[in-house]
Amino acid sequence: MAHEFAAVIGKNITVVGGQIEGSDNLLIEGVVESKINLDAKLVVGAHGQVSGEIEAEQLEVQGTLDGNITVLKIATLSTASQVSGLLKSPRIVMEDGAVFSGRLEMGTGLEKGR
Amino acid sequence: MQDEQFTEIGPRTLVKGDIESNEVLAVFGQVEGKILSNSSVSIEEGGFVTSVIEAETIIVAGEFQGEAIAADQFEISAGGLVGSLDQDASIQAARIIIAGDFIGEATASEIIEIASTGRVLGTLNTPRLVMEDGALVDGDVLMDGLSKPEPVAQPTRTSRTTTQTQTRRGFTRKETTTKTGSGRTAVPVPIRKPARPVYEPEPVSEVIEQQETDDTEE
Amino acid sequence: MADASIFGPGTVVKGEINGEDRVFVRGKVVGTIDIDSAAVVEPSAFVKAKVSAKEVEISGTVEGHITGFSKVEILPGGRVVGNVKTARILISDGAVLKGLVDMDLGEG
Repeated sequence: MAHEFAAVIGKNITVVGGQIEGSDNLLIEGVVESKINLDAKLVVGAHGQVSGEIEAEQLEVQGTLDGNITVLKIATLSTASQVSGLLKSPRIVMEDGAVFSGRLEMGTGLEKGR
Repeated sequence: MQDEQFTEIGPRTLVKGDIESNEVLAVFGQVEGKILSNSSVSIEEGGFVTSVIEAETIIVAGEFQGEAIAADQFEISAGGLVGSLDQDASIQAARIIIAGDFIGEATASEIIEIASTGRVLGTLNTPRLVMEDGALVDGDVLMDGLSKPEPVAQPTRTSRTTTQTQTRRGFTRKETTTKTGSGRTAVPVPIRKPARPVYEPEPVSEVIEQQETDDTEE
Repeated sequence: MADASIFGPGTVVKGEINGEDRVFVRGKVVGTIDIDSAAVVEPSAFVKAKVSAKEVEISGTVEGHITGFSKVEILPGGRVVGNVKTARILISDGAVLKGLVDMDLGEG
């Protein structure tokens, strides 16, 4: 699966601080505490633990993700994922088993009436 | 006849007061008051109920405002509305299925499923949550009663154990304890499965025997 | 069946039943029934309420005053304790009525 991704932060790599920016898909299996701004797909792998200010075009979480998360298109929370914080995305798919704690903002429009 | 036992409130009927029932109840019209049932209650399209429903299962294709407890399942069908901008609704059930609009607080002891046509403005409390593509939520989601975990700098291993205990009242309480590798143990607030409503309306014949025949005066 | 409300044998209503649908009562009603159509109190029903309807048909038990604007029928098995105001009345053999019957609904 790693070959789909231009960049992989492996299981035994830790990134603390700083910024990660780019327009290639990124798979994180290690520990990252950082600001991430990706015009592409971000995958937090099963071993991945990511926290920080996250912006991505697409997001898929299989591991742990915490922070202020903004997704442009679609976020998928897989069955073993644990996500917390603020998640903004127009589309979210959440599988049975995924755990989310925090706030979702998807733009229901309900606060303006039906 | 046993299979003729049901209640239907017609589209041009309004009931102001309380309804207690042990048979299937469908509301096509309006009810202002409490509905207590140990069977199913459905609010059909065009139907409107306020303010309390307790039943085994509840399905809303029309509109409901107020508080509801379903021992088993609470469902909002596509087109259905529960809650309003003026008044948050509160619903509790073992399982909650949202395919329509929900404004308020929903608590499930087993699972909340939001279908592709579902929209939620409010708070969801549940151990399991499933969202289909198309589902929309604006609000807080609390699962397992865990507070927001702090960012961890080291790989941790997470394990969950679930124990079920029979409480004295006879319904099952599930407690899920989650341990993270850093040694913190989150002790969640158990989400209580709503007790099955135990309701038996007075048998009609018993009531007749109790009645005294008074001289009615104008 | 055209629009109707049916209150089954396992249901108790404490309050008011209002509206335009025909109402069939098979359970218990305590309060008032005020409808712009027919009210049918079936054999299994117990109604302790003021009943006001266009037509009233009773095979069960009613304790309360009844107004049936066009007619009131008390069928065999029907028991009424209360006054009855109506333009036309039918009281079947086997029915029981304890109350006043007023058939003068004249407006003037």
